[in-house]
Amino acid sequence: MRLLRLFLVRMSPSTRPVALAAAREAYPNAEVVEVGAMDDIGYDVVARNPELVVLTEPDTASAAHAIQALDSDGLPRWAVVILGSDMGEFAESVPPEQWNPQLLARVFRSAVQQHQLMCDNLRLRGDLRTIARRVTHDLYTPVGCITTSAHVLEAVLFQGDKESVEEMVQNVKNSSAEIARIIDRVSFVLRASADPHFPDRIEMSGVVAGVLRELESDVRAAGATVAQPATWPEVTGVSQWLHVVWWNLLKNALAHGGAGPQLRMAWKFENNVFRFSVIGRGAPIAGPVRARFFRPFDQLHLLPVPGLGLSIVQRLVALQGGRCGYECPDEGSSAFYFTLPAENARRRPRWEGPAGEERRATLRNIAHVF
Amino acid sequence: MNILIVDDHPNIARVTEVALGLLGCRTFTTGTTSEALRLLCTEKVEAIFLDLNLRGESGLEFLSKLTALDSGTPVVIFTAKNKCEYAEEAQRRGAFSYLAKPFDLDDLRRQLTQIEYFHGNREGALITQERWGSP
Repeated sequence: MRLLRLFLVRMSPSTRPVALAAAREAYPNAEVVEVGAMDDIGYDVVARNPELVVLTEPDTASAAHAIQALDSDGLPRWAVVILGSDMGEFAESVPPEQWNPQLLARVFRSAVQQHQLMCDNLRLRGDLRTIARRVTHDLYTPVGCITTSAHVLEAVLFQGDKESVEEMVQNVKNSSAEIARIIDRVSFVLRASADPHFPDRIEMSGVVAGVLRELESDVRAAGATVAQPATWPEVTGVSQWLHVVWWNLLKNALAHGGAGPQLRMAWKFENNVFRFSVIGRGAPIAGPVRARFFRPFDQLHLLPVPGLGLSIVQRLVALQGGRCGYECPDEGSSAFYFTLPAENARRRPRWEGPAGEERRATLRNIAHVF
Repeated sequence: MNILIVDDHPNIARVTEVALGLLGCRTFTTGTTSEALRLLCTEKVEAIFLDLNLRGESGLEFLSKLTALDSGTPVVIFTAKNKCEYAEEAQRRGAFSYLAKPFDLDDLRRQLTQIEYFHGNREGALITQERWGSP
């Protein structure tokens, strides 16, 4: 069972025992946090645990706060159960005379499952919009280049201009390779999102060594140096996803690090979280440009973010329960980092959807609906 | 005719250079708006072919800047065929015309004819409807 954080907001003395008993029955391992108001709920930027908020007789502002809260990826932050108030179109309400631990436990579980399905649905619709708008546009560019090159080729062949013929042929080859690259990358991230992958214990040193071997010629061509820590930790994750994450971060640093970039790979372990980074020299990146880093893949249709790499990194890291970011450790350097939770061990990826008992329960629900 | 191409996609930039060269144009090419501004100061440019999807400053922002400068140099924007809404926005920001990708030599030739006509007839307003009438 996944670790769940359950917030009980402004519980009255009469409601509290029923809600606590229901929480224990629904999620015996959940962390239960009792708060007096919605504003008392902190925002844990590291944790990606599913969350459930239970409110009793909330005022409209508190209910709206709970229902409309979004996480850093722009998805509904938590599942919400409202006890007692008739919220009309906002939510199903359970009248007090029906409250008992067994019923509320079922309500809690259903709310969490529904929230998970809603997030999955929103993310998948975002993926579809990204493919329909952004990816097709990205493909249109090289396809258009091939088409125009063919027209130009026709003309230069007629003129016998050998140099231009060679250039246009090269253009066709480059554009074809670009199309293949886009298809490979998008296909990878969609397969990663759609197919369950259970994390394994992985020696990060092996992943990093593989990536550096693959990028050897890029490092040489850029005149770059890449420093590594003396040791790497063992982590829980998906090896091929971590390979792609490191590949993109290093490739990005090589492409934008100026002439002869001096890059440093680093890691630390703090608060039960691994934090890995690629650090380069250079002035800090301005806020508006920085804001475009690591946009979730399912939101790429909304903003003209150049490149797919950092969005792919964001998705793959999120699938493993971590987060990505950019920071300036000091005036003269920039770091792109990602985190992996240490307690990630054997935990299901966030986007995998219901499995096992939960999946069976969901199927029952769906069967009941139809 | 001297044309400035502003496009950071090297293959598109190169094929546009060659195509315009075939049609008798002299081209200057850059992938950044700062370099484009420098070229506008140092070279006699009679038209600008501008991509909207630049990695740094966006093409639309740069277009607004060019319009504010009131240089009188017509700006033709590149846009994908499925992105015509950007063409409308570009028109509002003062673009002369747009060229939907993929384009062929006839499309380019039509653009050059309109630019020549514009330079020959500075009033220009007469051809506005024709330029924006159909994709």
